[in-house]
Amino acid sequence: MTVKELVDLFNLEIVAGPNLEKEIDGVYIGDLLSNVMARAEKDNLWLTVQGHQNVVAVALLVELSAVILVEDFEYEENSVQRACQKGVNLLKTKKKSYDLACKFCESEI
Amino acid sequence: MIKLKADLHLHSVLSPCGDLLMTPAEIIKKAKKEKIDVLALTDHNSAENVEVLQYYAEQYNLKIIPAMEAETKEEIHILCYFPDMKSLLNWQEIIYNNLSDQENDEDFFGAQIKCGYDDEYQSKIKYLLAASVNLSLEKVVEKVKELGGIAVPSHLDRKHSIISQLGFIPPELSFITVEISKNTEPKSFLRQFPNFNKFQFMQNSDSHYLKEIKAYQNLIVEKFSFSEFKKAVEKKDGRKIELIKT
Repeated sequence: MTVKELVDLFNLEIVAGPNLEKEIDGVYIGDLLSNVMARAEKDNLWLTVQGHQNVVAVALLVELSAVILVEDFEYEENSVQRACQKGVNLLKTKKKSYDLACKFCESEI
Repeated sequence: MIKLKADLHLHSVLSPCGDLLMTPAEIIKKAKKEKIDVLALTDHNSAENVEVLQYYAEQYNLKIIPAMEAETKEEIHILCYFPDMKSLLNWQEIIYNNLSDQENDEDFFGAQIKCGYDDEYQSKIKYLLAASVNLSLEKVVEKVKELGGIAVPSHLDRKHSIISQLGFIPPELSFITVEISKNTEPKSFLRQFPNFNKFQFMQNSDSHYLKEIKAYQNLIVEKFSFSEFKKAVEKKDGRKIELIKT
């Protein structure tokens, strides 16, 4: 599934979408970036509440398919700018990580 | 240049995690016993005990740097030092305006006590201080600078640090000095994080109990003043921080 298909299927909001044709492979959930850097895998979706600009750097480093900010948290302004420059997809939702993850699970993501 | 023994990170009874014996006068007495020259009380998101600490510090001929340990939106702890009480109190107002309205559960977190000039318990702070405020790391650093202060990220080797929360230091923040906890030393810290060798390290007791108060560093400065301290933190004009080998 591509990020674009995911956005349509789960009604996610696109905050920065420079690379929506990217393929998704698996999901990682966490808010400690040190841990995400160590544990998340290439092409994962990443569910978090952190909107700091370092999120973009971590997504780039681990080559994640998209970041999904949950619970209606907001990205910092410079995160959005940077994501557009660097080709990182930033999405958001009002849902909680668990609820969204359950939905992903039903769709076998 | 002179050497001043400095402990620049500790908590009083105002911090819910601070021991009930950590009152301003007792802190000063213990610091004096440890031959500390410069002290900074850094309670979580509050500075209610700094004026009383200053009062006792003068009696014992000890120097104080007005300070606080703030917790950013990302749950990062940052040491904030200010040139005078006025700027610290301005900072406290900014922090209070961004604190959540969750009340402190004393049984769970501990009491948050403001002391009077007699060193007795005077009043309690209602809202929970040991929580994040609604200001980003960048905002905190920017606002502290605007008030003439200086920010140093706390205990990089522990939880609630820039490293644990954000993975690495955003390069725009141009810190020169960072704090490592007393539980590590530069060599083993650098083994784990080799690219931190460009930073100067600060090391403090982060005391929550009287018996923990101790100096782990010397300020190398011309004389004691905030501007000299700031130069030491910025490693300027031969001023610097020198860790004491323990």
